[in-house]
Amino acid sequence: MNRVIGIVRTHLADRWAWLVLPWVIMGMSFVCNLIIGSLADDKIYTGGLASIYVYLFVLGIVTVGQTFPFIIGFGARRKDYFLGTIASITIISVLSAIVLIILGYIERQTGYWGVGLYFFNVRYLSDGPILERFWVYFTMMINLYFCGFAISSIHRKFGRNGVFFFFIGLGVVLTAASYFISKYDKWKAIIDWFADLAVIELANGLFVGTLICILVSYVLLRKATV
Amino acid sequence: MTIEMDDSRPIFVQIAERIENDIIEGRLPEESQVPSTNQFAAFYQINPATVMKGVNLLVDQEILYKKRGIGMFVATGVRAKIMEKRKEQFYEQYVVSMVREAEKLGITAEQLTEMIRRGDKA
Amino acid sequence: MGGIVEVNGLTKTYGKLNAVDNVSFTLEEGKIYGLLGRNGAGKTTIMHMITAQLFATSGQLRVFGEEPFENDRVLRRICFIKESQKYPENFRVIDVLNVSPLFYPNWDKELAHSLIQDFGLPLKRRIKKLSRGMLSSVGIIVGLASRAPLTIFDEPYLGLDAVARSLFYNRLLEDYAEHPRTIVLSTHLIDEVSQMLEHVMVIDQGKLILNEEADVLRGRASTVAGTAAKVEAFLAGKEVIHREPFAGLMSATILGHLNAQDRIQATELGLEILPVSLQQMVVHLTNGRSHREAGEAR
Repeated sequence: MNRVIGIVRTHLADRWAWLVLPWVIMGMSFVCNLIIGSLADDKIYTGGLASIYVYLFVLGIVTVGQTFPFIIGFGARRKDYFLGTIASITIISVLSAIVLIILGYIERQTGYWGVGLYFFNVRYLSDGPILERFWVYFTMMINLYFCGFAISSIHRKFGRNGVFFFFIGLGVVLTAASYFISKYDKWKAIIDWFADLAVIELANGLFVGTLICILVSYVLLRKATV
Repeated sequence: MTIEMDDSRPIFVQIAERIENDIIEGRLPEESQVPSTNQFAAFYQINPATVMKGVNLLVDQEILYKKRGIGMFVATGVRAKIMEKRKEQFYEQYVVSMVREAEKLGITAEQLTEMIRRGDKA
Repeated sequence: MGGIVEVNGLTKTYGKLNAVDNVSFTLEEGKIYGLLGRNGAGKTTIMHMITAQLFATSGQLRVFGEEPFENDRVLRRICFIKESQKYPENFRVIDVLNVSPLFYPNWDKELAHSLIQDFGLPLKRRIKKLSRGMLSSVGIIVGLASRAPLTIFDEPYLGLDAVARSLFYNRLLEDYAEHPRTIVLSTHLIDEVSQMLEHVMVIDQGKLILNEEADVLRGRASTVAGTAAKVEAFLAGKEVIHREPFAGLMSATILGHLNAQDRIQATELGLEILPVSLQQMVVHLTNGRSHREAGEAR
């Protein structure tokens, strides 16, 4: 257990990457939107919140290259590296989700920052009760992080060509899927299914996806060399 | 005295020789304490285990003895003993090869004695 | 007392290349070992396998009596300092020192800070902005302050000048004297470390070609010099590791003690016998083989 805490502290020692940068990036997006909002008369719905999520995806990609060789080189078990990484991103995601909810609350209380800017209150995602909102924010964060992490794990284990073939494979699967969907004329059904999907169902689905990403990454990194 | 060890001979032997030299030349009087293994190791930048081996060589020859909990000491009467041992080595190491080299160069016994006398004054 | 590292028939193959070829040895507790050999001989690969960062193709490996892979009881007792150690981009020297005790239970903070002073490292500077020599001193500091029961330094002093290297040797011996532990120095700079070693292992082209106590090796090899024909006559039946002909003369290095009879024979033949340093011996051993093999390839 001490080992896992050690790895969490090692990750978070890079305060800039884990604690500062996500908020700086989102903050810049927010300021831009605020300026636009103050100039425009209408209500503004913006996707600016996505910036923090995109950042977490990038962080997931970067983590493996940055910390795996370092931490394994310092004599940690791969399993502890994994548990420590999961713990780190869970802590960050929980805190971030709470901050986002608080900021959403402030946004509503201030009359949408006085300029009608809907930055932290996004339709669909922030519609539900507070716990549901938390779960949605949280699962999206860890999902994107571990998507990045899994891609990077492929790189660690199989090198650049591994990633290359992975994306070729993915491309083939998606192409084949869209071919069959078109062939059997199922596009509308699928779009309707997504449209009907409740946000909580989406979050649960993402959570399962995250677990799969974690499992795949673990299998890949367990025998990866430094 | 050089600090460098000769890398072509066992270092523990060289350590023993250096301690013996110190005894002969009076730097380590009889019944005085010998520096500790770690002091030797640090000074010569060599492995403490190697120093220990050298010291033990002298303990086996009863040149050094151990006082429990204090350290290693020079035994009484060993200076003469070491010098006796060294005289034999001197003959083997220096005299024999000197005479052989002198023969090669055609130096007569008289000339050699004369040279030694001159070397004594220098 | 059993060995803390027991390696048996360890082999690592990359395609057709045997990077490590059927290597067996034991490391005993509390000794300073030298793992010597030329660059690319397989030293680093062996160390990576002992620390479970690389996987053997075949062979057995026991560290502290157990399989090291994913074994915290083993891994937490090892500190492996390697030239290629990577650090996170944003890490500063101080960050490395702050996280190190999380990995090494015996970490001595005071020692670490006194070493920082000795090596003159800027605490706040980012690792990636350090010079090669400074980066090496970070590794050295981690390795010494970890006080790990098995501490491995793999070519730890790239870019360090003679003064800093000497400082490393001094502090290593000093701390080793007070806190004995097993230390492996893997290096090709044999002359500098040979005095500190209790035991020497020489790796050449993936094979362990020498595994012996350092002091036993000193004086084991001798060089004989004289006219070529007479030297050749003397060499008959002896293990020759190096020959150097020079205008009708020859000097040859022999492995193995020369007895009194050998010496008399040498004198009769008019040959000169010279002692060979440990370093020269290792150089001859590792040079000779590669020359021979290179010759065969052609």
